[in-house]
Amino acid sequence: MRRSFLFSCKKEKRIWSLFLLIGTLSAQNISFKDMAAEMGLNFVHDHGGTDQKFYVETMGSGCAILDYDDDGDLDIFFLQGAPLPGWKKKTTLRNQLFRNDGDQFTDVTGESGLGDTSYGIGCAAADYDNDGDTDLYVTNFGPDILYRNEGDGTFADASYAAGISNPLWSASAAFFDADNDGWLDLFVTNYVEYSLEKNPWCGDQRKDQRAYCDPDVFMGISDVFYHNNGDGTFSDMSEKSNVMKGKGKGLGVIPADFDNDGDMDVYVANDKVMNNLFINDGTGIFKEDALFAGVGFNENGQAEAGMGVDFADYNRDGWLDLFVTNFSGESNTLYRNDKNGFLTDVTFAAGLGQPSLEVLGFGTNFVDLDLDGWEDIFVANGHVIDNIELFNPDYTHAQRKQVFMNRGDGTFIDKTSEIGGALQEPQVGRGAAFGDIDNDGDIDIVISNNNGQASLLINEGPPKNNWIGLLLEGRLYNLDAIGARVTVTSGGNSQIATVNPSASYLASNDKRLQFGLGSQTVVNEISIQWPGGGVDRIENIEGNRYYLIQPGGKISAIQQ
Amino acid sequence: MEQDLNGRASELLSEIVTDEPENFVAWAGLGKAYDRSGNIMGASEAYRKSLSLKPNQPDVWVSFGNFYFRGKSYQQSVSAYQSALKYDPENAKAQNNLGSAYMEMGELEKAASHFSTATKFDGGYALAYRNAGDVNIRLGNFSKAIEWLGKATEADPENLFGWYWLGRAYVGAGQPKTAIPHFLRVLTRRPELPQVHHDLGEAYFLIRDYEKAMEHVKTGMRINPTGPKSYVTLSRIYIHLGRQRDALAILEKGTEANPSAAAIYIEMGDIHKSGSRHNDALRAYTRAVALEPERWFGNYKRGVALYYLSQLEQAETALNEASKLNPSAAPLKLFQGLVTLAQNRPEEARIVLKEASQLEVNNPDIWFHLGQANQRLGDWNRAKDSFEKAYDLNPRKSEVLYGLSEVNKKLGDREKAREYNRLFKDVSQFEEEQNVLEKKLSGKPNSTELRRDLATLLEKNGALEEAMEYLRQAVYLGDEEASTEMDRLEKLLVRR
Repeated sequence: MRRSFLFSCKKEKRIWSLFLLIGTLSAQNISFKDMAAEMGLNFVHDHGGTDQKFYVETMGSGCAILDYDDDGDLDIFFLQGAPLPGWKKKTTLRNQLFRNDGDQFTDVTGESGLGDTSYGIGCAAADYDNDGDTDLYVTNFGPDILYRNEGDGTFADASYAAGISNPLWSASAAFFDADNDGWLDLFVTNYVEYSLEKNPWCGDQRKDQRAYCDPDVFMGISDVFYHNNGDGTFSDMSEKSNVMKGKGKGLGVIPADFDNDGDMDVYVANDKVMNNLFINDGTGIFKEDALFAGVGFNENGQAEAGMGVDFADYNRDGWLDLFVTNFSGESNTLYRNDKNGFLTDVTFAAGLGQPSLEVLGFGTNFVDLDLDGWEDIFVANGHVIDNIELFNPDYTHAQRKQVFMNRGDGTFIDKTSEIGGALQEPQVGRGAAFGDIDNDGDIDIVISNNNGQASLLINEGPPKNNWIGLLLEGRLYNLDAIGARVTVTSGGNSQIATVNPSASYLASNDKRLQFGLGSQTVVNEISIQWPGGGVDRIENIEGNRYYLIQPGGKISAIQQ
Repeated sequence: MEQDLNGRASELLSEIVTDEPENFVAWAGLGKAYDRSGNIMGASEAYRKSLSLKPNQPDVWVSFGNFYFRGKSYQQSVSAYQSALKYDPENAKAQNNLGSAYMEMGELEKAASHFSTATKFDGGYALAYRNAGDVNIRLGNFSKAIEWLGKATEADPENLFGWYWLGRAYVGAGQPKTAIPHFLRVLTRRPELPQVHHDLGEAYFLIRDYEKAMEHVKTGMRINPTGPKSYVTLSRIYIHLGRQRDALAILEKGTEANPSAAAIYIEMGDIHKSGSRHNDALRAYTRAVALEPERWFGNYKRGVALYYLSQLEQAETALNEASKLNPSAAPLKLFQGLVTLAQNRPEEARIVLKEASQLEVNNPDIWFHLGQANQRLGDWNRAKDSFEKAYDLNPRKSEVLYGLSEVNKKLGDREKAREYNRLFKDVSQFEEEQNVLEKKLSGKPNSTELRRDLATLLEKNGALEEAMEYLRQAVYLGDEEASTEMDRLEKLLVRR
C-alpha cells in the first residue's frame, strides 16, 4: 500500500511552522543536563552491600522507559537492590515506577503494584498478551517476575499463571516474536552460579585488600527462552530451541535480524566468555554460531567482558551492525556487518578502540543525538570494583559517560569532553535506557547508577536537526510491532531501523523509532516491513513530529 | 715487595738504556717494568722505542698489546697483536689475545675464530680453549662451548674457571643435571665463590630440586649480599612454588641490600605484570630506568606496562626511548607495533612489525600481529601469509587460529574458516580452563589439588612437560598422590 501524507493534517499546521523553523537551524552543540532531581525522579539505587564484597553488588540494576499508562509520554521504572547479609539501613528497598506528569515525575510505585522487594536486576517491557498495554518482565537475583499490565495503572504478578519460573541469577531480557506467530516470546540471559552463602575471598592477599571476584571464579549458566503460547502462558523452550546449548555468562541481550532473512536472531553479550549469536531458522529454533559469524570474540580471538549491547545500521548499508560494551583495558567492540553472514570487528579502525580502553562500559545505545541521520553511540561507564583505585590508580570506580559521534565515513569521534556537562560527571553507570522523555524530538537518557542517585540526562534545547518519530502498532497481533523494519528515505539517503525496545544493559527503551533527517524537512518515503510479512510504503511525510503507523499504511500524526 | 723489585728493575734498565740507547732488549724490558709499576707513559714510550729499533719482536708486540688491553684501549691492542702476527703468524698467544680484544669490543665471531686458531698452533693452550668456550657461551652456541671447555679442562684440569664455564655451558645447553657436578667440583676447592653457588642453585632450580636450589642461592646471597642475581633467582624459585609474597619480599630485601640494582626492580615489575598489576609493574620499571637510564630494557618494560595500562602515548614515548638505545630489539618493535595498532595506525604498525619479524623470524607473536596489521589494512592475502607463519611456529595459539579463520572468510574459503574455527574452539577452551585454574591457584598458592588439576588438564592437551612441572611443585609441597602421578607421567615422557 502506498500513501502520501504531506500536509494531510491541517489542524497541526501551526505547530509544523514552528518545527520548520527549527529545521532550518544548523546543527548545534549537543548538551545534556541531569534533570533527575529537578523533575522529581528521586531514585537512589542501593546494592544492599556492606563490606563483604558480595558479587551481586557489582552488577547494578536496570531501568525501563515505557508508557505504562498509555498517555503518550514516557514513564520510568527502576530496579532496586535488596539487603544483603550485614546491611542495616532502616529503609525498604523496592523497585520504583515514576509516572511522567509533564515537567515532573510522580512516584506511583505503591499503586502500580510494581514495588517488589526482591533483588532486582533488569527488565523488558512489551505487550506480551496483545491487550494494548505494556507489560513488564523483571529479572532478579532470585526468581524473576512477569507483570501483566491490567490497563488501569496497575500490574499483576502473572509469573505463576504464565508458567514462568526462572530462579537463577538473570540479567537482561527481551521480548520478540521468534516464530512470527504474532505473540511475543521471551529471551532471558542468565549470568553465573552464585550464592551469598558461598562468597569467595578475592583481591590482593599480599596487601590484604579484598575486592570483588572476577567472573572467572564462577560457572556460567544457560539462558532461557520462553515461547508465548498466545493464551497468557509461556512454555520453556530453552532446550528445544537450542538456547540451552549456548552456556555463557549472559548480561546484555538483543534480538535482531542480522542476516536479513526476515526473522529475529538473538545476540547475547557474555562476561569474559564467548558471546552468543543464536541464528533463528524462522520457527524459533536457533543455531548458536557466534564464532563463525565473527561476533563471539574480539579481533584477537579473545573473549571480552560483554555488558551492554545494541545494533543499528551505523554505516547505512542496509545491514545491522553490532556494538558491545566491555571491561576497562578492553575496548568496546564494534562489529560491522559484512552482508554475507559474517561480521568483522572494526573497533580500532572506526576510532572506538583507544577511547574506551580506560573505562568500563555498561548501558549503551546507537542513538542519533544530533539528528544528522547517522547513528552516534552513547555509553554509560563505571567500574565494577569499588576500591579499584587501590589496585590501579589509573582507574576510578565512578567514571564519565561517553558520546561517540558518527562522522558518516565509518568512523566515530569521542566528543565527550567537548559536550561536557552532565556527561563528565563521574558516576557508576549501569543500566541505561533511551527515549524522548520530553517528546521534543531528540533522545534523552535515563541511567541507573550503581548504589547511587539515578540520572535523567535531558538532551537540552531544540533538536539539532530535523527528525521524524514513528510509533508502529501491529493489528491484533504483535501490537508493539517488535521486529518491524523501517526504511526512511529523505534527500536521497536511506536509513533503516527495527522496532525493538530491548537493548543496552538490563534496560528497556522507548519503543518508538527516531530518525534524524539533517537539513531535510520532508521524508520522501517510509517503507515498513511488518513482522510476519506485509510491506507498506508511505510517501512525502513532513518531518519534526511523531506519527502512528499501522499495517495497511495507515498513518496519523500524534498529538504531543 | 713486587713494587720494589719493579722499581729496582726500572732503575737498572734505565741506566742500561742510557748507556746503550740502541739496546732494544733493554727497552722492551724497561717497558715491561714500567708497565708493572704503573708508569703508563714510561711503558708506552719504552715499548715504542724497542719496537722502533727492532720491529720484528712478536713477543714485545704482544706485551705492548697487553699493555693497551689492560688500559682498555682495545683498538690499539688489536693493532699491536696484529703486528705480532705479521712477524709470527703462528704465535698462539697473539692469536688468543687478539681474540680477547675482539671479545671486549663485542666482535664475538671474530674472537671465536682467533681463539680457535690459537689452539691450532698450541694444542695444549688451555686459556685459548677456555676463551673459545666462553665466547661460544656468549654466542649461544652451547654445544660448541661444551666441546671447547671439555678440551680446556683436559688441558688444564686444575683450572677452576674451565670447570665453571663448562657448567655454565651445560646449563645453557639445557643440561643442568650435567652442569651440577662441574659446579660442585669448583665449590669443593673454592667454597666461598658466590657466583658458583648461585649458578649451582640455578641449575638445581632447573631440575626442580627446590631445596638444594634455595640452599645454594641463599649461600651465594650470604657470601655476596649485594649481588642482584641471587635475589632475582630466589624470587623466581618462590614464584614457581606459588609463593608470590615471598618472591616480592626477597626482592625488597635485595633493593635494601643493593639499592642501585636495576635488575631487581625489573624482576619486581615482571612479577607485578604477571599478576596484571600493571601500575605496580610500571613503578618498578620506572625505578629501574632511573637507575640505569642508558639501558634499553627498562624503558622497553616501562613501555609494555604503559601499553597494558592503555596509556598509549606514554607507552609510545617509552618504547621510542628504548629504541634509541637499541634499535634492533625484536620484542621492542613488537610492542611498538602493538601500540601503533591500538592507536589505529596500521600502516606504521605493519612497517615496524615487519622489521621485528626480520629480526626474530621464529617468534609467532610477531607474525600474528603482523597478520593483524595486514588485516586492518584489508590486505587479506598478506594477513593470511603472516598468520600461517605464526601457525607453523606454534599451531596451538588460539588468536592465530582465530585470525586464520577470519582471513579465510574474507577470502571466501568458508570450509577452511570452519576448520580453523574448530581448532580455535578446542585450543581456546583449553586456554580458558587453564586460565581459570591458574587464577584459582594464585588465590590458593599452596594448593596441591589445583596443581594436580592443572597437570591433568595439561596432560590431556599434550603439554606433558608443563604437566610434569605442576606435579613436581605438588610433590615439593608434600603431595604423595602427585608423586605417583609424576612417576606415571615420567614413564610416559620417556616412552615419548
